[in-house]
Amino acid sequence: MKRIERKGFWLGVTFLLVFGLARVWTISAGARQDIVGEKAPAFEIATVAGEQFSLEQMRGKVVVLDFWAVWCGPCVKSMPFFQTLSEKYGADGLEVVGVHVDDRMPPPEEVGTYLEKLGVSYTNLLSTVDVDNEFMIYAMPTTYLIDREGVIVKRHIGFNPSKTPDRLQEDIRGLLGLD
Amino acid sequence: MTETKRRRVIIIGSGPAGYTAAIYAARAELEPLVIAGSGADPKIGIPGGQLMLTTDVENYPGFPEGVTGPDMMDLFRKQAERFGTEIVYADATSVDLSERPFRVETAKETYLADALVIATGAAAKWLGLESEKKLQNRGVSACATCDGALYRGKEIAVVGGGDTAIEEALFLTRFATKVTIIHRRDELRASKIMQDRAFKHEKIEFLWDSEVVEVLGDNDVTGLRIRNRKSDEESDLAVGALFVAIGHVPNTGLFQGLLATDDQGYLTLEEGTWTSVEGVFASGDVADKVYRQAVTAAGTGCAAAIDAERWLAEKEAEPVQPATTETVAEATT
Repeated sequence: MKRIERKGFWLGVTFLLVFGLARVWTISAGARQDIVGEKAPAFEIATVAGEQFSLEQMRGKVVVLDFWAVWCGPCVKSMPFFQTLSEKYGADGLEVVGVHVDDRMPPPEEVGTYLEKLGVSYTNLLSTVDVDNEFMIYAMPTTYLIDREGVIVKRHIGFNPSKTPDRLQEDIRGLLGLD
Repeated sequence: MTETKRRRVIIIGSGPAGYTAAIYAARAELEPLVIAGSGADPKIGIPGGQLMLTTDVENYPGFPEGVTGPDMMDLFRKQAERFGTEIVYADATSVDLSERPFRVETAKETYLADALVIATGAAAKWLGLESEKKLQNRGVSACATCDGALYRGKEIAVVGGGDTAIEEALFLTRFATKVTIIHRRDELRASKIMQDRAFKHEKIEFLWDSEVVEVLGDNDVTGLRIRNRKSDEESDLAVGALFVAIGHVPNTGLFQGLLATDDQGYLTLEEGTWTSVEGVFASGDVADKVYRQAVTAAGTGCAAAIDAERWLAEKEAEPVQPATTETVAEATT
C-alpha cells in the first residue's frame, strides 16, 4: 500500500504539484501524521556554542533544517554542501541550521570540534528526543526545507554528492524566489 | 572402492529434527545412522543446523536459564549417541529413492537404508553483505522469535516486505522502542491484513525503495547504511539490531525430482511425516515454512521416527516387495 493512498488523494496531488518530478525518499510513520505541508513544530534548544535557539526566530527566512550525527557517513559528506549553501544564499534570506541527533549525545565541545574540522560555520543545535520525535527523525541525514512562513515544504532523506546538491538547490532557489 | 553399509533407518541432517529422530529411532532399537554433514559446504549447512549460528536460545523448554545454540546441539548429539546412534560427519552427495533399500552416497561411503528420514533443514536468505556476516549474532539475526528479546529497549530494523517481515516486525514491537521496516519497493507484498496491522502500529516506521548497503558497528550493530534505490542517495539509520526477513531456502537440492515439493521447494507431506515416496519421511524446517522453531523441528523429528518405526514394522510383517518408483518431475503444492 503506497503512502499516498493512505494520506488521501488531495495531499498527494498537492505534493506532486509543489515538487514536480523531484524524487524524495518516501517514509511512512506508522500511525503518525506526515508533517510536510504543516507549520514546523516550534522548539527552543541549545546551540553547540551553548546559546538558546528558537525556530520562531527564523520566521521570514527560508530555513534548511538538517538533522545529522557525528557517526553518520552520508551526513559528513553533505556538510560541505550545506556550508556552501549558507555562504551562497545567506544574503538572499537562507538560514542553514544543523541539528545534531545522537542518543549517545557527545559533549557539545566534541561536536563543536568536529564541526570546526569540517569547516562548518552555520548554526548547529543539540537535539532532544522530543525534537527528534516531532520531526520524525529515523534515517540521517534528514533535511527539512521550511519556507518564510514557517511551513515545512519538503523532507529529504539521504545524500549523494553527485545528485542531492542539484535537487536541493533547485528547491531552495525556488523558495528564495531566485528562479 | 566404496563400502556399502545397510541400516534400518538413516537420518540425513543433524539439527533438532535429525537428532530427535535419532533418539527415538535408537530407543526403538533401529540403530539409526545420522549423516550429519561435514560443514564444508555452507549451502548444505553445518552439523547441528541453524542453531549452531545462534548464541542464546531462550525459548526451548527445559532450559530456564537459556542455552547457547551449539551447547544445545551438543546435548542433542550426546543424547542420540547414548542410545546407540552412529553419526557420520559427511555430506550426503546423492540419493536414489527409486528402489528399496534406498541408497545414500557420501564422498567416501555408500549407505543403504530401509527407511529414510530427511531432516536437512532450511537456511535463511541473507543480504550477502560482508558486514552482515561479521555481525551475525551480534545484532544481525534472521529469527525474531529466537533473538528478538535480546534487543529489548533498542531500535530495530527489519528488512523485507512479505508476511514474514511484517510478522517479525510486529513481534519485535514487544521489545523494541521502534521498528523500521526497510523494503526495496514502494509497496509491501504482505497480505492486506498484515499490512493494516503494521501501518496502524505506532512503533513501526517504513523506509520504502530502500536497501541496506552496510551494517555499521565494530563489535555490535550500531546502525545501517541505507541506499534509496530511486534517488541513489545514502543515509544512516541508528539501530541496535537488524532482522533479515527476506525468506528461507529449504535444503532440498538433493531431492529435486525425487520427492514432491511445493513451489518454494519445501518437501510436501502426505500424511504425518510421509513424503511422496513410501518409506521416506521428513521432519523439521525442510518441510516447515510456517513455524521454523527448534521445538517444532524436534517434535516432527519424533514423529518421523515413530512413522518410520511403524512403517518398518508393517513392512517386516509383509513379504518383501520391490519398491514403487515415484519420480516427481515438477513441484506440486
